[in-house]
Amino acid sequence: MKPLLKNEIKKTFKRTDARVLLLLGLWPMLLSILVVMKPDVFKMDGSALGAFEFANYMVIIQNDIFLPLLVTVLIASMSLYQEITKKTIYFYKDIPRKNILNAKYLSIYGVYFVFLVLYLLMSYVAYYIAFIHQDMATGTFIAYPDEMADIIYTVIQIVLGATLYIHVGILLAVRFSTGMSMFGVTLFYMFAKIVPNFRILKFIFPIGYKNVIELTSHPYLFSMVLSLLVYAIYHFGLYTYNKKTFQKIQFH
Amino acid sequence: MIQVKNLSLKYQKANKYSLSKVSFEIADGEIVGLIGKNGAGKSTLMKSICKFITPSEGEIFMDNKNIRKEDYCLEDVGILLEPVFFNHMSAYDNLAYYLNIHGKEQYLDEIGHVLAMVGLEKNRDQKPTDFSFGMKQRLGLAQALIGYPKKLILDEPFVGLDPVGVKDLITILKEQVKANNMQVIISSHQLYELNELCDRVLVLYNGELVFDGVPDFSPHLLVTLDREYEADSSLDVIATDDARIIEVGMNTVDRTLRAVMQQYQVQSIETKKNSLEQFFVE
Repeated sequence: MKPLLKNEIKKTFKRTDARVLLLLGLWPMLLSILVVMKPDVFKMDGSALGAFEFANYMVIIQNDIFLPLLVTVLIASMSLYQEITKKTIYFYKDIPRKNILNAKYLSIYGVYFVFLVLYLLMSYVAYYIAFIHQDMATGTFIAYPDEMADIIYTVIQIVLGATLYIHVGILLAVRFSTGMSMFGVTLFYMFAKIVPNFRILKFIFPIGYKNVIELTSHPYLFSMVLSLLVYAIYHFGLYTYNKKTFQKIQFH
Repeated sequence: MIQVKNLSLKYQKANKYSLSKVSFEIADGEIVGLIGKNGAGKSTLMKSICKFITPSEGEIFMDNKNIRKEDYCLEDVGILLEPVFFNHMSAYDNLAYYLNIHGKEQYLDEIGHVLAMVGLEKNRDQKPTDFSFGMKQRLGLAQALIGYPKKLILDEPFVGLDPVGVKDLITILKEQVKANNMQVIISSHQLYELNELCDRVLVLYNGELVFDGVPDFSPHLLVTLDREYEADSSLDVIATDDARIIEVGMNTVDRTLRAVMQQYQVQSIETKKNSLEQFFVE
């Protein structure tokens, strides 16, 4: 690993906001403590859940709560906007700006993915410690093997969506204050949630491609490839624009 | 060697030049002072040399490398523009981070020594948020000096330092420059200290380099005449605000005074001790 990237990741993980995000990864454990103390507090409608369904259900919940994404945008803002305005960016001297930006991208996404893995692990732990004793738990790893592909697809779409929201956050954090970046990402999140409900507009955001499933004989694969393509285009466009903006910044 | 050639920076919106065709060189082992009023362009010039600002015209070379066309030209340059640090890391960690990202891990063992050199050895585990401005300035100097840089770019390094700190800094810089044959450019409003430290002075005025050289600090004589002095180009005389008083350089004092005394009656003679401060004001 290059020294810049390695040290940028270390520095990012030392930040308080990054530690807060990792603490949020322990949230399923807190929930399990609550369930142990008061078993009837967590009631879910619908079918029973295996560990796999439960963990993925928890991922959907954290995405809907939106807090982890906002904390990630805060980390992006501390890493970019704060360093630019407070001029700690002077530390890097004339290391190519592209390398600096890439290191920041990887460290921000790195923290988010560590959070996600931690959150998933904690969800499994919580299931086997506390939720397994609940009525809604089957006690098996997978309750409905037939729906596995659908669940995986949904979770991957959520994670891909999160990468896009974070990317928008990084883009905004290069130029705008922390509050503005958070506000911008919230607006984008709301917009992305609404757009799939419209007939034509839904294909603008990759999240709308779940409907393609109904049109093909190989639904998940086709839909996944298509949405990955659109995500790739989005990420490429945002990255190219962001790189240009970052390279042009003058540190008066 | 640092070479600055025809460097200009124009603010398009204000249609104003912050720097205008500035050219100079700094040779090995040379300490150059940069002086000028607030807004004269000193910090802009330094930030341009450090690649934090892109000039409109001109070129900067470091050891014959055009810094605009190549990356990693500043790896051997110690920079202190503003003492800024990562507040969530200790003083030691800030310096370690700086060395690590620039691939200078071999100097990690030197951090303690450099912190001791700037008087912060007991504060190595404290975070910069707990530091006074003077301590931050010292930490900034430690950052600029660590890793044995070949060049130093210091913007207002004396600000926030107490008199002992200033004296220490002058001693440290003199030692380091001598030991490592460094090239140094220092901007400061503390002209007495600059005078003590620098081999040469650059004066910026409204973005233009109006002086590049060694100011004449030899004492002059202030001669008060019985009447107003009438300009005579054959005499090496500097007029003053008071028309009856003339300033005579020591180099030509015998000849000039003899000639003046043939035409005027001299009422008094005083010695005027020149300094960089006086040079700057004039």
